[in-house]
Amino acid sequence: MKFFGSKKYDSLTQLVTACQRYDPSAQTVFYDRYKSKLTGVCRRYAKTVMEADDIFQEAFIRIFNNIQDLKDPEAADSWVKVTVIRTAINYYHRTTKAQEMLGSLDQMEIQLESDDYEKMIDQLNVNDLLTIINELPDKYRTVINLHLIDGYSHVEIGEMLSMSDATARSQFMRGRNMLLKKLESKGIVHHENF
Amino acid sequence: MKTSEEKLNEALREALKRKFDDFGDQPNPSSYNLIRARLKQPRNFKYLFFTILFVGLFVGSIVIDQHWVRQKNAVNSKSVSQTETNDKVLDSNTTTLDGSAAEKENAISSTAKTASANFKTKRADLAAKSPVENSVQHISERKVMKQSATLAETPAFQEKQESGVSTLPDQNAVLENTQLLANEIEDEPEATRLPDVNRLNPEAMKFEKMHIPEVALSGDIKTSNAIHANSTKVGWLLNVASLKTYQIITVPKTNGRDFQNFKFPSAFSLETLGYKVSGGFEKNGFQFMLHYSLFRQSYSYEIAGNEYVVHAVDGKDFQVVRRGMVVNENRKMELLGVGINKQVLWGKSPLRKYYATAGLEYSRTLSGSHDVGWISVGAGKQIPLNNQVLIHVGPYAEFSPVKVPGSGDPFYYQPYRVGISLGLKLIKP
Repeated sequence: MKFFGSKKYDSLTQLVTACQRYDPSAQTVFYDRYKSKLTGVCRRYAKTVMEADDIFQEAFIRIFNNIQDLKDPEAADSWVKVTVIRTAINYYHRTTKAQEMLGSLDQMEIQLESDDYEKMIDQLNVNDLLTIINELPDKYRTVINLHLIDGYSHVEIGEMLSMSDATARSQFMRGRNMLLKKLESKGIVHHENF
Repeated sequence: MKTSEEKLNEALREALKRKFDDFGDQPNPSSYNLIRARLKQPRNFKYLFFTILFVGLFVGSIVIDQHWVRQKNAVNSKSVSQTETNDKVLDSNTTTLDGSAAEKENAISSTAKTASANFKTKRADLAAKSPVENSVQHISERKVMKQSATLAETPAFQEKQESGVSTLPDQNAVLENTQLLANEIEDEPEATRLPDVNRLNPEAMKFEKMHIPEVALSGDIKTSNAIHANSTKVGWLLNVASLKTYQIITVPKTNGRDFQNFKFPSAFSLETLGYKVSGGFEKNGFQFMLHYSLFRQSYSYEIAGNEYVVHAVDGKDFQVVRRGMVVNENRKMELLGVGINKQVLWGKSPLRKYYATAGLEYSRTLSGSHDVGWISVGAGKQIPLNNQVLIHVGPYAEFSPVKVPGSGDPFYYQPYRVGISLGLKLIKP
């Protein structure tokens, strides 16, 4: 298998089982398997690279210390991703102060067709897009990530963030509008089709 | 039918997923070390194995020792029962003789039985009597036995045995022999005649008023060292222990400095061997000790720098290694302290006993002046060397429940030591 550099572990189940025994070499293989992908997730949810590093480390500590709870080793991929996302949410629960939401941006009128934004995003470099997402306030950034990229419903987001699904929906709308505004402010030229 | 809002959301979702589905990035190279430093430690079965081995050896040695004691006792009782069996064989031989001889011999047989029973009773009484009584009785018995043996060795006795004639002497001959023996004893000088202690009333007897001649004790009679192991007396103690030291190092979070690649000596390295010398006194099982001990701290680590080196792995992948400045630590830790132990003894033997100790110790490092507390446990065997000296030997372990700050480094150390202790206890008679 592509992911397993060591011949010692022929399957994900074997690797997870070894990690559940706190085998250091298995933990290294496990870390190497997920580090790149999970760093990407952390970069999306974090405001800065430093904060992404903190979330990444905290998430992996939780993963290794709680891997005993993983009953189905084949579900490890989704389990580690959920653990990272929950760690990021907790991180900002702890650190985020009441942020000033920019009301003027929330009220912006969106008049573009959906195809325009699709094209805009496709044209953007991933790092530029990441920078735009990172600039969003913590709550909006989290909701945008959860709903648009990681595919959670508003109900699930409400449960994860301890809010009602209506609030989650409202937060999402505001965050999305702010994201679109930022895309425009980056100088992306669009055309309007009426 | 989807609204324009929903269409916009779907379009955004599609575009973002395309961008981020395969998005990955390299984490900070030092992340893994930092993660590993904060992970739960796996159970160390190596130490569990040694603990089980240690306890197993100790319990095993006690069981084997007790088994030997039982076996020794069984051999003694076997020799007594062997004597009993010989007597029975003698009786059965007597009954197989012809009728005429049998009638005569019945009396002799019953006499022999009575003598045998008396002999056994006397043997059983040996342990209960004083060494002087024992030695006197022992000499009398030996004399009777010697004369019986001499009679059996005579050519006339052997001739009768070969011809099938009863080897037992007739009543006249027995009476004659008894008379001769009585005359012989009477002919002995009065000074060398031994009293029959069985006929004396021990309570009425005053040893100091009887002018009993000195008796050389026979080699068959074992004497024991009279150890004055009275626990109320003060005993002086001197212990030496060879100890293997293990240390749990805590690396605290420091601003701007990362530590990596710690290397420690192997579990069987001589670098971790230390010793401990203790002296003190004991009263009522409580030991008050002064301790001096020494152990080494040998290991190395790196202070992580800001340079990163990229190594190719298998020509495909790359490994990023953070460079660091290597620091080697090799210093002696000398400790001086006081402690109190409680020792308990058990075992059937009055001299060779098993002991167990548990204690508390307060020590101070001679360099750096840090305080260290210790909880110690020991067990082993007490062996008497002579009537004033006892040796204690057995395994010993101690553990510090407190962390000691390092001198010259930001780490904290929590040591524990395991080894063998050898001690002397001097008791004034």
